[in-house]
Amino acid sequence: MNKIYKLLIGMLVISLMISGCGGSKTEAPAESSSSSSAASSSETSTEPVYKDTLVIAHHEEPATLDPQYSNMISWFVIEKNIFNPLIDYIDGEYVPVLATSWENIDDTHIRFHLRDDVFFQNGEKMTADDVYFTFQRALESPKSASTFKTLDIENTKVIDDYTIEFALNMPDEAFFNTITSGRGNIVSKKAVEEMGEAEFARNPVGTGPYSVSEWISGTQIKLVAFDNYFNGVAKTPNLIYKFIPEASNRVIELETGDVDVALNLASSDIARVRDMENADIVMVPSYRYTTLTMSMKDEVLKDKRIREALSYAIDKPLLVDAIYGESADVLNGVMPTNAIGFKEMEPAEYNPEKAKALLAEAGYGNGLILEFQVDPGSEYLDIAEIVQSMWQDVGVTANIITMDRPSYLAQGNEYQISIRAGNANHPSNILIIYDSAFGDRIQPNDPYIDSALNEFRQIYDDAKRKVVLDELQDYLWDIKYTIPLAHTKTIYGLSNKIGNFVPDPLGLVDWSAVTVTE
Amino acid sequence: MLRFLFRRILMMIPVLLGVSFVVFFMSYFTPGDPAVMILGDMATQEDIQMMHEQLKLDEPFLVQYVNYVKNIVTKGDFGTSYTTKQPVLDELLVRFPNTFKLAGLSVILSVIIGITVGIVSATRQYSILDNVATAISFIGVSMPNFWQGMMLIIVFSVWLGWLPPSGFSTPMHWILPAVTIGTSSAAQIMRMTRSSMLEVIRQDYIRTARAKGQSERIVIWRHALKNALIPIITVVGLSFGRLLGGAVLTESIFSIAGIGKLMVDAINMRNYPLVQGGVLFIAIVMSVVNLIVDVLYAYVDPRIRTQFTTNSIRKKIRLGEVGDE
Amino acid sequence: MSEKTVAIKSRNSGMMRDALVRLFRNKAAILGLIIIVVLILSAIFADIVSPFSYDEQDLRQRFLAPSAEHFFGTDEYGRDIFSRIIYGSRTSLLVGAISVTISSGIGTILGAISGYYGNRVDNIIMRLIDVMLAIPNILLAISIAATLGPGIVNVMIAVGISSVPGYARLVRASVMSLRDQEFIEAARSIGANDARIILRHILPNCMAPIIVQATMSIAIAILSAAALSFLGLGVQPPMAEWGSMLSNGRAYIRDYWWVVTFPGVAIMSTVFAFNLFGDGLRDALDPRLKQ
Repeated sequence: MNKIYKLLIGMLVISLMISGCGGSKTEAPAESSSSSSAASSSETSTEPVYKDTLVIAHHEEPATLDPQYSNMISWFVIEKNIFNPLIDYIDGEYVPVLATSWENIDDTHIRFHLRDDVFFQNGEKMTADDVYFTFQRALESPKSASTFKTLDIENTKVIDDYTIEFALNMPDEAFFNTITSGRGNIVSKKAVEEMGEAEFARNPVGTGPYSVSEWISGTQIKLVAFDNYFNGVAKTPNLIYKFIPEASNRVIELETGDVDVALNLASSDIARVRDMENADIVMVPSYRYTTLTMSMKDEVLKDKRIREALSYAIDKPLLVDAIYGESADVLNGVMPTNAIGFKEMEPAEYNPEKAKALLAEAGYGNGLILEFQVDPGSEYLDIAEIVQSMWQDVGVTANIITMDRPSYLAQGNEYQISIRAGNANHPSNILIIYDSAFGDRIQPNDPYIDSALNEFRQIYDDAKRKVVLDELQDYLWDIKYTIPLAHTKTIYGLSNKIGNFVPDPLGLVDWSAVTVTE
Repeated sequence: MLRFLFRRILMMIPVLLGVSFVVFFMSYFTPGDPAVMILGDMATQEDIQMMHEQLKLDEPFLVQYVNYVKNIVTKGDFGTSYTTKQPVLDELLVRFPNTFKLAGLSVILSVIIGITVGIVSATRQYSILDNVATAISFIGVSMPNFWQGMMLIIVFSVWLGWLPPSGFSTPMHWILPAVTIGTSSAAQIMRMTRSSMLEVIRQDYIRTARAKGQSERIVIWRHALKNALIPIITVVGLSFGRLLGGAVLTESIFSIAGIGKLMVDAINMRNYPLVQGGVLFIAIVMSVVNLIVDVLYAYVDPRIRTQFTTNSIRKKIRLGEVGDE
Repeated sequence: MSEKTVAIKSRNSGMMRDALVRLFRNKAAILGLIIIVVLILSAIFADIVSPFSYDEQDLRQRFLAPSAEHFFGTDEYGRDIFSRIIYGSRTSLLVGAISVTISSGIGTILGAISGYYGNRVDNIIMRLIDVMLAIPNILLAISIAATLGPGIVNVMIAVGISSVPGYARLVRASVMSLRDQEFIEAARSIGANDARIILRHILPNCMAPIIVQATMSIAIAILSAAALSFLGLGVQPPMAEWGSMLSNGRAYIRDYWWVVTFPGVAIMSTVFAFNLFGDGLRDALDPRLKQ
């Protein structure tokens, strides 16, 4: 008898749990919006009062804040506020930051004139020695050396305290672009030498608007305004980066007002943040694009008809919409749309019939089996599962193989089919994946591509470079070693209290001019 | 007693050496190159080679292992994290308080709930209350705790808005994670308390105590519980170890900067010094907990206490028989 | 010798009958058994039972709420969650069964050797077990899974190996209590070798606790496997597995509750069933504990 009670009660509890999950769902939105409207109506003071702390929800803790030993955008996001580069790239132009002007002495020598009013956060004045030291250590770091591979540091000369002349191994137009990257952030020579690398990684000394005041491992980094910042003291004295890996938790924190900014939101969170009374979404095109890669060492994929068939079989607009919603666009080209020198192509056709015909022509009318190796990170697996299903419709079976990231990378870029994301704005860095010397997963060993890649980066003249670059993009679009899929956007969730916000494509926001009202 | 403690501590040494060897061995043969993990898929061969040299990855297995143990024993140096270049011990010590607090809170929570409900269940065996408690305890041990955590976030953070969904800074932040990993221990402690109490209650001396006219409360809470405690302590001790492990996923779900999350991240990054140091650290903590459990046995049970001084039991201890029970 | 074994056997079969009677009187255990049988049947006949295929996508039907057509709604690729849970029962039961076979197999062998021979052999094996016990179970499983690489087979091995210590200790204790009993002495005196004594005489007499432990640890194995999958060390897509369904659905937790609720309920009910049944089994096989 008693056991029957036990049994009934057990079932009752389970059913309560299930129905409980369903039942209260409808009430949720109403409640959350009423509480947030109450909060916003209470703040009707006349004069804006500024808060002294800006709290940012960030998705990842950096391993280091040493720019030459950094290789993740999420780390540069914080370093951006501690350091400055010589020059920056804004709205299609190189603009001075720590340098005032620069000139090409000849094809392989570039001279930079530096500001003479810049101080490091340790009180030292910034000089050409620091700049030289920065690039010297960059070439000793496994994380930066290949970025600056055209720099000839032996022959680079410090002319005087505020002049430095870079020597290059070969003419390299891309050099300007590489020094705008986070790895080109100038560090204090004295600080690095005094502290040692390990200490500098936690307590870096740069010229930027903020310096590190407290780093609680795994929880947050607090920055304080540097009062001798050459561009004027930051508007908000304290900056806190809280590390919250779950995108949905970053949204909840934004909703509850515990953070003012949520970085790197997921596309599935856009609608929710838009519905909030106290916050909104700001989206800008990033430099990130996803593309499907095929190995040219593979006998089957060497056949261009197969590659075309695989492309015809993908309904890109449907795929992009399903995965990204409005946070990405279909990519009609081989570089991100806002990359330097991008050429827009005719949208690729979705035509399963043509795909089948091409496969039949190539001798795979009865089916083709491919291996689809997928990096477990980001949205790659989502893309792969959808592509797998679309290919199945034309008789191509793609077996998805996914593994943890270390095992994936351990295969040394030997993947029959794979997906990669690029994250760069200069053609030299974007198209390097097609270079035979680079050894990436495509490995086309295509002499034309190799020579074109080598050629255009040596041309300083914009118009002439464009000719070579356009031709290369046409060729790559046609040859289909890759199937470009989407160009994504960077999504910011911002509290309505934020003022003077300027979004950055990569999320590298300089917060020094930003204000938060009380 | 002191000699017993000394012996137990001595016995920890080979176990910990074994743990360090096993972990070192596994990480050496785990596929994936730490240098590639750190540099990413855009790295060139030269970058990777440079990284190998900086991390001293090219040394033979035994050389690496012997140096590792030597550095720990002579300098207390657990090595340096590949990614952050900070001492492993520092990284662990920064995060350990959070994990310890989480495990401690949930042990307290589950002991209070588990023992109370277990006793009530036992004293009113087969009542509706007993049956409800038993049913709930079965559900409690059946839920994957990461799923339970997600459900708690949906209900208490998203729908009701009562508790924060992530972080571990204030007592309000502690509630959901502690409940998440405490549930299954509470359920187990409850079941153990119930069955252990049921056994004890039927013993003669309880009947004697009752016959002497002592109040039921004193009989149950003083006489019966004390004698039912040994199996309960065993379960609590085991729970603590499981909680340290269970924290792995719970810390991820609630974004808590603890050892568990650090370990998962370190394994994913092939950050071997941190993996090795972390596992060793946890093993030390577990061994200490086991030791405390053994001492508690002696404290609650005079029979065991007196046995510590006799020769036969000491032999048994050396064979590891007492600790096994 | 034959006389003795016959006697033991008949005693065993009588005990088994009593145990079965006790088991079938336990309603909770029967509920557990019914759920388990239903799960096994649905796993075997998944192709017939489930209305859709586990990998059938329809990107125009993403995140549909539960309805008459899709009992548990659809996921982020428009796949039918009900069907995926049915197919997922295959994976989970298989993982549970195989990893428990691995752990009980290795554990029993180690425990039997250790308990039977004692002394140095015992000491070595038990120190090894101590080393494994010093590492929390799930952390050990994660480390082994990382060493072996991802994939469902490796998950089974990882989960299996990580729960070896429990069996080893259990079997060791039982064997130690049996090895000096007179029927073992008798077998030894007529010249039976060690392997025969262990396999034919000792192990059959300590099967009860092993069976109970195995049933209970299927539940634990399913939970551990789900946890490994949740961390991305599990199955290859588009294969359905409850833990990875939870992991994938995690991002949509706020907007589409059904994506994570049902796989979780599936895990919970399965584990619940094995716990109920295992508990009943223990009560039945060990009447001492039954009040």
